[in-house]
Amino acid sequence: MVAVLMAFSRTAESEPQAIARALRRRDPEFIDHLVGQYHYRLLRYLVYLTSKREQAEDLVQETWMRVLQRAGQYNGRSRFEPWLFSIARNLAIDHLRRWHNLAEDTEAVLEIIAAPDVHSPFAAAARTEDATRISGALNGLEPIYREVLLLRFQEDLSLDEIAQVTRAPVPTISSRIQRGLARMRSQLTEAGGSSNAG
Amino acid sequence: MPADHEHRRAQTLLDQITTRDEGVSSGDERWLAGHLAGCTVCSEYAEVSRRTVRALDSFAFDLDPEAALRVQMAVRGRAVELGSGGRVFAVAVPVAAVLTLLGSIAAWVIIAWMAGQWKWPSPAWQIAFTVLWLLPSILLDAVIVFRKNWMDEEEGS
Repeated sequence: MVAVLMAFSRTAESEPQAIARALRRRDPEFIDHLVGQYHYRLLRYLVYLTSKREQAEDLVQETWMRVLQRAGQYNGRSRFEPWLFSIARNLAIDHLRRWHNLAEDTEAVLEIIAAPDVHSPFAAAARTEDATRISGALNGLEPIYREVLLLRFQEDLSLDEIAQVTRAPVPTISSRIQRGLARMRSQLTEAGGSSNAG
Repeated sequence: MPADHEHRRAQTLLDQITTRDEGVSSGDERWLAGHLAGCTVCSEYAEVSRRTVRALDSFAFDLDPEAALRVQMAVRGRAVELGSGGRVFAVAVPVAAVLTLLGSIAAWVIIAWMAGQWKWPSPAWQIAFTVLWLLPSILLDAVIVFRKNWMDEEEGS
C-alpha cells in the first residue's frame, strides 16, 4: 500500500522535483539512474569545453561528486540540465585555468583557443560528410562559442537557460551563437560543399 | 537584382530563425519568402545554415562502458556515504539535545542540594551554574550543528 502511494506521489511530481528530492535524500538507486541517463550528454558538453576526451572523462566524475555535495542547492523549480551543466562548466574552468597557469579567478580561459589535440575528438566523432568538414573548425573554435552551439542545437536549451549556465546576458549568448555558426558556415562553403546538400 | 541592404536584412532574419532566438513577424516572414524566391545568394546562405545545424547534430562520441560504470560506482558509493552521514547527524542532534537537557537537570538538582548543605547564597550558585554549565553546553551543541552546516556549504562551494 505504501509502495503504491509512493509510486502515485512520484508520478504526481515533475521530473525536476523528483530529481531534487532524490538528490536531497542522496537516494543511491535514483542517482545511479541519473548518472547513467546524463553520462553521455555531460561527457559531450565537457569535450566541447575542453576539447580533450580524457580530461572530459575525469571531469564527468568530479561533476557528479560536486552535484552530490551541492544537492541541497537544486530546488527542482527549473530544469536539471542547466544546473548540471553550470556545475560542470565551473569545474572545467578551474581545470583549464590550472592547465593554462592562469592565477586570476576568471572564465577568460574559455576565450583561449584550447590547444588542438593531435587526435581531435570532433574529427573522431563526426558521423557525416558535413560534420567531418566542420570538425576542424569546431576544434579550432574558442570554447565559449563551441559550448553555446552545443547547448542550443544539441541540448536544445533556451537562450535563457544557456544564459543561466554561462552567466552571460542573453544578447551575448545570441551573438556567440551567430559568430560560432558563421565560422562553421564558412568552413562548409570553403570546402566547396555547398552544392552537395545533405 | 536585390540591393545589399536587402541581403543583410534577409540574412539577419535567417540568423534569427536558425538560432531559434525569437520568432520573426509574419510580415518579415512573407518578405523573406519573397526575397529568397528571387535571390540565389540568400537561398544558398539559408541552405548552408540548415546544413551547418544538421552537421552539428551529427557528432556522436563513442562511449567506454567500463569508464561509465566506474563513474556510476564511484558516485553511488559517495551518495551512500553522504546519505548515511546525514542520517547519523539527524539522529545525533536530538540525542545530544536530550542528553544536554537531562544532564543539566541532574546537575541542577545535585548543585541545589550542595547549596542547601553549605548555605550558598541562591543567586550566586544559580548564576555560576548558568555561566559555567548551562551556557557552555548549549554553545557546544550550537557549534557542532553550525560547523556541520558550514562544512556542507564549504564542500559545495
